[in-house]
Formats: sequence, structure tokens, C-alpha cells
Amino acid sequence: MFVISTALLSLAIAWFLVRPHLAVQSGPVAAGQSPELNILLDRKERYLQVLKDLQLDYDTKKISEADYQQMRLSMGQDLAATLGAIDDLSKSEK
Amino acid sequence: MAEFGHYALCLSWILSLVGIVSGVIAGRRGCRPWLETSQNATILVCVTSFLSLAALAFGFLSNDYTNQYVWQTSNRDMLPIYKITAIWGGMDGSMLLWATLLSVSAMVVAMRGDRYGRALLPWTLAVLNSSCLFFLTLVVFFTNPFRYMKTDFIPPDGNGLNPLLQNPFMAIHPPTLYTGFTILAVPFAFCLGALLSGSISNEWIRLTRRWTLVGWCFLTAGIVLGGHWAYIELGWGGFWAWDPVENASFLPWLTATAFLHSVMVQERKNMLKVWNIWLVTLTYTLTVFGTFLTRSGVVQSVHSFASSNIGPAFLEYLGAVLLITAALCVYRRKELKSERSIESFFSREAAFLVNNLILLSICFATLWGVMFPVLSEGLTGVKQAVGLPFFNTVNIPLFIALLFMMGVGPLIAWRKSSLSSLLKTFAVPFASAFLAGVLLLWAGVIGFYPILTYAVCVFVLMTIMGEFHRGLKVQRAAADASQGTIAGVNALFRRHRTRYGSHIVHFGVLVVTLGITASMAHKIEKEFTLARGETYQIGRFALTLNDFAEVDEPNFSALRGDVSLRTMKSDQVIAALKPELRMYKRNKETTTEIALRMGLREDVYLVLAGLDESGQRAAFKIFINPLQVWLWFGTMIMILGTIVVMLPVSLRERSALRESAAQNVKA
Repeated sequence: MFVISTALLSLAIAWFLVRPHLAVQSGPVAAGQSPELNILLDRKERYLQVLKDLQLDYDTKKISEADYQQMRLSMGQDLAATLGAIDDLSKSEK
Repeated sequence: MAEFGHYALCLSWILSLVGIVSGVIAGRRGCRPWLETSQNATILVCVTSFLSLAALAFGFLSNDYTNQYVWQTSNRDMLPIYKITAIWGGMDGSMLLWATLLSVSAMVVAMRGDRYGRALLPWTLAVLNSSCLFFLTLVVFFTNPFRYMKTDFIPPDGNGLNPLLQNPFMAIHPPTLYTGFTILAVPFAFCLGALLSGSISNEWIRLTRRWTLVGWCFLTAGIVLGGHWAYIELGWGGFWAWDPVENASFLPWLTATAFLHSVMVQERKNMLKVWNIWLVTLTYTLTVFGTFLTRSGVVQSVHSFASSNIGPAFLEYLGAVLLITAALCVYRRKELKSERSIESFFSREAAFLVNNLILLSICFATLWGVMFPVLSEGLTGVKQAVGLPFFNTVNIPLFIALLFMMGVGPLIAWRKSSLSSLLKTFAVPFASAFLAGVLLLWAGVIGFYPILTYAVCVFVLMTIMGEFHRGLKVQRAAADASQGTIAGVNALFRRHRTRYGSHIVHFGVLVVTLGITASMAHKIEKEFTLARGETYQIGRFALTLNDFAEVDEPNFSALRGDVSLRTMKSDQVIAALKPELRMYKRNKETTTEIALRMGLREDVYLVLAGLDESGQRAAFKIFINPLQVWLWFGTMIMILGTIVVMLPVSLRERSALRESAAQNVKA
């Protein structure tokens, strides 16, 4: 009984492991985004978070008006440049 | 069944090897079938490890004393819950539990593979399977829990579990702690996966944020559950003694906490990349190092219930992990350069860096204290241990500094804060802290550190309240001036979940600090004897001994006291305390079972030490621990805060964020 059950379990495991290689479609690993696009999207998320924090810090009066305007401008420019780069890369990938 | 358990274990070992090989091939060739094989192998490692653990549990529940491990750590009269507890009551089973829990984390990563992208996943799975392989190698070749008895004779009963482990908290403390340890292996695996794949964006940090928080949460709960077990089981009136095993679980908690803070700097400023890689690596290696400490017998501990010869294997593995990480950091040094630097000392990133340095200082001091006996023996031939005074002298000032930074950090803006705003926001918390200190002195509270700690607690509390007050004002200005406080707080949490959730965690830390400081600094401890009918007065309580008697249970015999606890003011019985002195039948070990009356103001903790020579008077030890219960409540608040931080961001909130960003871009 023990031998039969372990043999069956071993066969099932072997089939489960080999199955991906027997399937018809075999291509590149998960059709995802390119590493460059990933980095840009990651940067975009970061800038969005920074802008959100900046706004809250300004609203709660932790930074001066002048610093806020200067940081917002510089961060907005960085975000705009990143969004532009994402657009360009997405178009070229298509 | 033991045969099947061993077979499943061996399969698990082979499958983890398959997971590594297929992961590496998928990572190098970018080939989908190999990635799927790696995912499938990872899932199967978990399934087979679970089968193996289930076979062991079956052995315990069916009293299978042909199995050496079952015989060593259980006996027939133990309650079923303690038979399950016995699985991790010894070296062999605890290693199997660790491997199984690690394989669960790996399986979740494998099953959610599509979320993790093509570059990271294969390497991450390879790293996770390597970690599984290490622990499975230990289980299969060194600490196999399925060994048969060496003789043909099958004992009618087992040796029994160490009586100290026969406590409900032992049923949940080790699995909780191990779950925390093994979940924290996932951020490390992603980090190493990023270094191996060359995909060095902040993606691995974003993907593992929740893993880190969940791991930290379990680790926090595990440490505190261990403290609670020590409190109610060891009978010395305390919960933490800087014991090596306690420290072993605390060290990764410190580095994980540092990582949780510094990772925010990387997310926002793309700085501290190498620092974060090392923090996550240290956290992982310290979890393994903790097991090495507790299981190798290198250091002596009251919590160490097993020792073996697996120490060298642990050291080799730790060395390999650190070496590989260092080599990869050097290899990827160009990609790991920071994009920005700290602009001002008065910035949140600078405050987080200071917080990190303090946490690492505590970590180093604690590690030094733990390893000092080993180092002193190696250098001088004489084993010298450092005790409670060393840890308290070094760590208490550092903890107070950390507490202070916990109040300072949220008041400072990212990038830089204006001096005038800093003075304005700090004025009220500082004044409140000063006033609290003066009031405590005036009220007759003694001790420099307790007063300083309470004053800093007031400072932090005021900063948290100030943050909510300012946030609510902004929220009302933006939404509707008539918005109620609860609706406003709710809106704040929805819009800035991480920030305000972390304030809850910090509030929990304050409550924990209050509980720890009061119970340690103002503890009352007395020893006394009572004959039947006599009363003893302590603080605002009176204890009357009604009776004491011998009792006989299947697993132990005991001397049980029956004591009435009254308050002096009302003279009414508020609790019946029944402390015990137990003698376990199988292993002839004596333990004390304390009687505890928990209260919001203080705990009354009674230990029955025995009878005097005449046999007519019972000897007791009593501890009055002020505000002790707040330590446990505070931990719950910390966990609640972490859950708030982890709650998913809704699509509506996400689109609102994008809209406001779009406005910024237009502006």
C-alpha cells in the first residue's frame, strides 16, 4: 500500500513538473513590461507619492510658501518628463 | 506514517532543488516553461512539507513511540493541544515547522507570480527555494524527526514535553514567531532576485512592502507572546530579561523596523539603496542567526529547550549569504548609486536616518551582549557573561532617544523644513513634556530614566495629537467645514493611510513604553508566609489564605493554594487566586503555576513557593506590577496600526491621486 501510494504521488509530481514543457505555447517568461518601462513607471509612482506628501506638508504648514512653490515646480517638471518618457517608450514598444 | 512523513520530506528536498535549477534556467534564458516548472516545484515543496508535518502530527496524536522524536517530547497523558505543541517542542520538529512555514511563503510568491514581472520572479523563486533547501537539508540529514527507536523495544509511554512548554502560549508563540521570520525571507529573496537579475529599480521594494509589514507584524506579535509566556510561566514576575533567546528574536525586529523606515526614503528619494539591501539581508540573516543561537547550544538560555550539532552548518550558510550579497552589491555598484542626497538636516529623511542609526546601535549593543560569552571564551579562555545591567545601561538611553525621534520625525517635512515652522510645531510638545516632568517630580515619582521616559512619551503623544489636529483642519478646509471629527479622521486615513496608520503604530509603541517603564520602575516584590486564615497586606491589597491542599491530575501532582484577594478600600473579594507548585510525573520536574489578577492599574502576581518546615505555613512570593497590562494592549494597537497601513488603496483614491498629480504637471 505504502509503495503504491508513494509511487502514484511521485508520478503525479513528475507530471506536474513536466507539464509546462509539454504545453503547446512556449514563449518568453510572462508578457510583461520592459525593464526600462518598469523603472519609469516606478519613478512615476514615486513622484506621485512625493507630490502627495509635499501637499500635505504644505497644508499642515511644515514648509514655507517659497520652499513649497520651488519644490512643487521641480517635482512637477520631473513628473512631466517621466510621463513623457513613458509615452515615448510605450509607443515604441507597441 | 513515519515512513510516509520521511518520504514526503525527501520529496520536498528534491523539489526545492528542482525549484532552484528551473528558476535559474528561467532567469538566464527568459523561458516561460522553466519558470512554470519553478513555480510548480515551489508549490509542491509546500504541499510535501505540509504532508510531512501532518505525518509528524499524526505520530504525536496517535502516541507512536516507535518514533524517537515523538517518544522524546510527548507522553500519553498530555492534552492534545500540547501533543501538537510538542511538534516544535524539540529541535527536529521546530526545524521542520520552520521549513514548512518558509515553503508557505514561497508558495504564495509562486502562486501570485503574474504580479511580479518577468525579470524578478525566476530569481526570487530560486533564492526562496535555496532557503528552503538549506532548512530541508538540516531536517533530512541532521535533525530528522522521523527516526525510529534504536531498539526493538517499543516504550509504553513517552518522556513527556518539558513542563514549561505545557502552556497555551507555547502553542502559538513559536509558530507566530517563525511565521514572522519566514515571511521576512520574502523581501530578502526579492532583493537578492533584483541584484541577480539586474532589475535594480525600486520595484522589489514596492512588491515586498506588504510582505515586510506582515512579517514585522507577526514578529512583533511573536516576541510579545513569548514575553507573555515568560511572564505567566517562569514565575519571576517579569517578561523580558535580555536572555539570549529573547534577544535572538529581537535583533531581526530591530533591523526590520529600521528597514520599514528607511525604505520610505528610497521610495521617495531613490536614496539609501545599498543601505536597504543590507538592512533586509541583515534581517534575514539575523532570523537564521537567532535559530543558530537557540539551537546550537553556543549560548545558555532559559528558553533554550533543544541543542544539537548543526551550528557549523548555520554559520556556513550565513557566511555564504553575506558573501553573495556583498559580491552582488560590488558587481551592481553603478546601478546602486543614489540619485539624490539629503538636502537638509531638518528633513524627514535625515530624521529616518538618525532613527536607523539608533535602531542599529541597539541591535549592535544587544548582539555584543549576546555574543560576549563566546567572544570572551575565544579570546581569554574564560567565559564571561554580561547580564541585565549591561543591556539596561546601554539600551535604555538609546530607546529613549529612539522614542524622542519617533516624535520628531512626523513633525518634519520631506526634503526640508523651515525653522520657523519647526519652532512652532515643537513648542507645544516640548512645553507639555517639560510640564509633565515637573509634575511627576512634584508628585514624588523617583528615578531619572522613568521621569525622562514619561516626559518623552508626553512629547510624542502631543506630536501625534498635533498631527491629527492639523490634518483634520486641512481636511475640513478642503471638504466641508461642518464635517464631523470621525468623518474627518476617516477621510484622513483614506487619503494618507500610511502616514496616519503609522501614527497609530507609534501610539501603540507609547502605550507599550508606558507599560514597560511603569512595571519595571515601580514594581513591588515581597516574600511572605501564611497559615490558613491569615492575611497579608501589600499596597492597596490584602491577601487571605483560605486553604492549601495536594491535588492529583493525570499528568502531574500539585500543591494548590486558595487565596482571596481584597482591596483595602472596599474590603470586598475581587479575585480568588489559586497558585500551584506542580510536580510532573513523567520527567519529575517541578514548576510554579502563578496566579494572576490582571488590572488596568496593576497586576497582582502570586507565586506559591512551597510549605515551610512545619508544613502548616505556605510560602509565597508576590509582585505588584503597575500598568503591566498596557504592554499587551499597546502591542494590539501597534498591530492594528500596521493593519491600517496595509489596507489596500481603492481605485477611487488612486484616480484622485492621479488627478491631483495631473494638475501639478499642468501647473
